Amino acid sequence: MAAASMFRLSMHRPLASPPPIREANGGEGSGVGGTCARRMQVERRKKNPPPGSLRSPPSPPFASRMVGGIAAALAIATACSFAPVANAASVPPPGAASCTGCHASGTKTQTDVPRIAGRNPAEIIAAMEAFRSGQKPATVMDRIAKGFSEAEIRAIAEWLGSQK
Amino acid sequence: MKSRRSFLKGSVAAALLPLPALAQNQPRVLVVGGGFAGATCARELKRLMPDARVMLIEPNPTFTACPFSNGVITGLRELRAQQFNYEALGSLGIGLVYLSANKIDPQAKTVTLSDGTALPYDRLVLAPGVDFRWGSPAGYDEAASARMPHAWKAGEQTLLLRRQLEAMEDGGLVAISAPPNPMRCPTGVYERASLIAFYLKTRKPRSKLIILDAKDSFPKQRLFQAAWQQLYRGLLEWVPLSNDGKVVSVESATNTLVTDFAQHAAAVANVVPPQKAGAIAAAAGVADRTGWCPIDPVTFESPLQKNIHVIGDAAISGAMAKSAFAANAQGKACAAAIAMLLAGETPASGKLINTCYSLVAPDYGISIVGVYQPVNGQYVDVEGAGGTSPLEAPHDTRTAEANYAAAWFRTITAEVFG
Repeated sequence: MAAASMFRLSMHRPLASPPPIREANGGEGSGVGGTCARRMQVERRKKNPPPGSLRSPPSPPFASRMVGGIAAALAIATACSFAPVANAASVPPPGAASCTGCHASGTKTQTDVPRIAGRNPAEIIAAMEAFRSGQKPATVMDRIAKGFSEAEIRAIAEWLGSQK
Repeated sequence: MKSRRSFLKGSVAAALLPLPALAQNQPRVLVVGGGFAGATCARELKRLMPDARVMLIEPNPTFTACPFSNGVITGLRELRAQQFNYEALGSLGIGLVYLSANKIDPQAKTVTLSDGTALPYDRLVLAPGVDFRWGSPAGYDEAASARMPHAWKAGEQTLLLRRQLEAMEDGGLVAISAPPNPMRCPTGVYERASLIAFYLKTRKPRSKLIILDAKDSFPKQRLFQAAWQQLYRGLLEWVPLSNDGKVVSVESATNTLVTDFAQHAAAVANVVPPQKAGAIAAAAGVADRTGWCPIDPVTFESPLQKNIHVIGDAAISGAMAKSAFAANAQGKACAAAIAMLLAGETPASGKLINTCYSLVAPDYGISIVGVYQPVNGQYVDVEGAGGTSPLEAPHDTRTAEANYAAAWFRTITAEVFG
């Protein structure tokens, strides 16, 4: 009942403005995004897939996730312990997170600044040492390298080297 | 026509319906503000905790970046080159809420949206940027900004200032009022003055530009002043606080900036007003008497409210400037700290970098760099590191820095929004 009325309301939304709340999560219809109601519509469609449809199994329905939070709030829900960080190695060591401001982490950005993610750590360490001592000409890296110890540089280089 | 409000009421009603099993025990992190700090943090939170429920609350579906917007003002680039959206964040599984956060209840741990919906959180990140202290200088309010643009939040104001410069007759006076610290982008006023001077020199050479400053010094000052001597002598004048630079009031009807001893009637008046943390910070109780937000430099958590973290321009981050680079670095550091805290671990003390480029002409870039670490609860400069571009340098160096500045903008916006 409520779901049906929500669906109707969503149809009244002006097309130009994006939905006010959208919880996207990979899987089905990522481009569609959509409001609770639109997601429900998607879920409903999935229950009766068209003949020959080869869709992968749906991710947890958006509606349940979105609404789940509100239900949790209505019910007290101060949760206590959470699943640990998925991959502790993905937490960068001191300073490392700043690098990607200038050194693109992806490969698509057009830039003269060399990519350092995935580079051999020994090369990064050598470059940083040369910047620090002033042997290697630089615009900003000489000023940055002087702020890090050998151990910090090694940790940063190893973390960057482990990034894809 | 149904309103958004009734739409969302509907979704709350739906919460009472029986539903399939929920993903229990996954942390819920809300991020308020989709600028460089908030959008970065949301992305990094999702990267570090793929199963966490991360939502970004931002009323404007289009983000307009401030860095490089001085180029828009002076006709070097178009506003659309500054604009980005959140589609990529949505496709990563970050929930997007295109509404304002109006109220925060730190005890109940909820954020109330502009339509009345209350969203619960385990950890809340506030990245609200800055608000203006309207009424300072006296007479400078939102209505006055329609005549005398601030152009300190990029968008329509940026275009307004551009149109005024384009419409100005050769020989006009452009006056810029610079506020006291702390402010967003402390070198931005001087870059703006430089690029406007470049525009005037090439298009309206009989014109003049004056910076009326509420400060006696500013970052990269010697580099700026050397470049002004070289490029804009007789065209650009900087008036510091100690030389009657502080604008105390404005008269928008006559486009006049008033100091203690002088009145400057301008053809184009750009008033950058004094600032404070975005309004939601005060509403959440995380802003102190200065109007800005103290933080723990390791976790960015507010000492005033548990489980609320503040990043970007709104935060008091010691020696770090309020820049997009700093906001991006803080967003990542804050996300890492939250991931550790939620996993029951102790976040490690970090180091952060800031790199700020300024253009004094389209092919003439200069930079300031800092490396920071927490000491006694505040970010301070790591001794021996950081500093500005050399005062004496071949033109190739300036051109290289202008190119690196442009590369930085492409890289950071791709990292955050791409």
